[in-house]
Amino acid sequence: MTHPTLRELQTRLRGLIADPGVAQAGDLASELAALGIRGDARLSAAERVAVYADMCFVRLRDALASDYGALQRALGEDAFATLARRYLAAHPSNRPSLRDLGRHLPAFVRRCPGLLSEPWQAELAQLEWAMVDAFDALDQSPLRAAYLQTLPPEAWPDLRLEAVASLGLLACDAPVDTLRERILAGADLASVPGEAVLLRVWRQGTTVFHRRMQRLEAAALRWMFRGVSFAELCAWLGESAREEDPAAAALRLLGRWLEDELLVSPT
Amino acid sequence: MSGQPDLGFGIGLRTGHFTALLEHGTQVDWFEAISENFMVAGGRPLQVLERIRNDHPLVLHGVSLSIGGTDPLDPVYLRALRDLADRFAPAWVSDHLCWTGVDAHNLHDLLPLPWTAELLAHLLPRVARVQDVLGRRLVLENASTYLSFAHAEMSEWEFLAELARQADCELLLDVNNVYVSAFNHGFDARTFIDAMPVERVAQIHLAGHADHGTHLLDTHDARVADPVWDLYRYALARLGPVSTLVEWDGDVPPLAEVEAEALRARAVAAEVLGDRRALTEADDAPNAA
Repeated sequence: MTHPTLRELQTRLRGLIADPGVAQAGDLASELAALGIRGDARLSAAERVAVYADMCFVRLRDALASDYGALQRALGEDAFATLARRYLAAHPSNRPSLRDLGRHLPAFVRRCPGLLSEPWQAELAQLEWAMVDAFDALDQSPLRAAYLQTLPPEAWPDLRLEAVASLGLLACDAPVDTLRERILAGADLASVPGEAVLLRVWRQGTTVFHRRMQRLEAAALRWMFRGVSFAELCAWLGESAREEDPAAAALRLLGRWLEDELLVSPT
Repeated sequence: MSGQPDLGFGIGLRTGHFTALLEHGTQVDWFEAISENFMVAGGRPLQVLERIRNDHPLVLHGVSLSIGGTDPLDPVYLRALRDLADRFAPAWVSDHLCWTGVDAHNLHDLLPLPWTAELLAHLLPRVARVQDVLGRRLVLENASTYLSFAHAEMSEWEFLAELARQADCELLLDVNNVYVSAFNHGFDARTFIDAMPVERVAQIHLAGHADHGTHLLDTHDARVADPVWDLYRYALARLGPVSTLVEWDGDVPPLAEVEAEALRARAVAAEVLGDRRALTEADDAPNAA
């Protein structure tokens, strides 16, 4: 009997492990025999493949659960496992690290709302992934007030404002920051008032934070992602945001961003 | 003995222990970091690894090289691994003798290989490529397996010894994996240990497993089982002093409990090796005459 090449063996065994349902539907016994997988009195060939299938799924499900801990608690273990199985079928891992496994999940649950028990859980997934992204984003030296104090007045208009790589912005129809906190604390969600929130997520040192923003700050940060100068920020605040004193508004925002280390030092 | 230094007794570096390690230090000699967990742009993992590396020897241990895979080796991954090795200067870099996926689909599992001449021919240029990129010998670990292939032409231990010889790589002998695979396939674990080329074994792994009655699972979520300690004794008696590391990945207990396993390994080695270890340590010391 000819045996499969290494390539054939891996391709076909991958199918049996990643999608055991398909294997059950076909002629599993002859496929296992063709691959040369043997059973014995303790474990059949199919049971041996199932060991890998089970371990593989559990490892991937657990990796997703570690990134989406609040979503898992909100859904419950069974519903989360169903979500994980559907997600992994749609987005099998193609990266070496499990760190990236869940990157498509927020978009996936938006496309498949039937896998959620509440619509806001899609936004919760978005918040949790933004926190994962911030956790290991590039280390950058933050812009400091001390540096700005050394700038001569004529240098201010051209001062470039660049957001740190860890910064993420979210516009949510539900207060997912509060919901996440209460889910993780095991608290009741009924008393959480329904409200839309604008959130920023970022890392300061090694700690990931999220904070609510007013519309002006959210719009300014979105605009600033393009990379702007202080003069352009002031002009935008005056023209688009219709601030009466654009320079004062820009300085207020700048002070807040410096305190939270949201801007990158140019040096 | 292999050409690698004897680092003593270490544990796998795990996120849950970061704070305890930084605040209280450690009783173990060295650490092993999962390479892929540190292939990130920045943040706490890299900062902690920097601090750990400042005070302790370190080894990088990968899970996604897929040296036995039939997809081309991933050049982006290899560059990231080389960059990590350049930055943290590990004593060595290891991964598993397995495949982890195919057609760019990574299953993130250590999948079994058929021990054939075809596989050996497939592996030799791949190991050479990795060693070229890293500029050092690769250290390959025997994985736990739950199935085998009828068309295998040799045993796993024969294959490992031949691969190490022909590819000029080194071996990470996972004693728990030998025990688990021996149970699952019905071979004698000591036969496996007896076949290991002493001069190629750079490191030993110890870990816990789960007994499912019909089979053992390499779960890394418990203390090292007594029969695995016995097999470790047997391995040490044959191999002499070898850097030993305890892995604990599931239901990870407080740092002290994992350290206790490494300290037990140290006590077992002292019991088995006695003066042999002391003599080797003197030879390895930087100020040895």
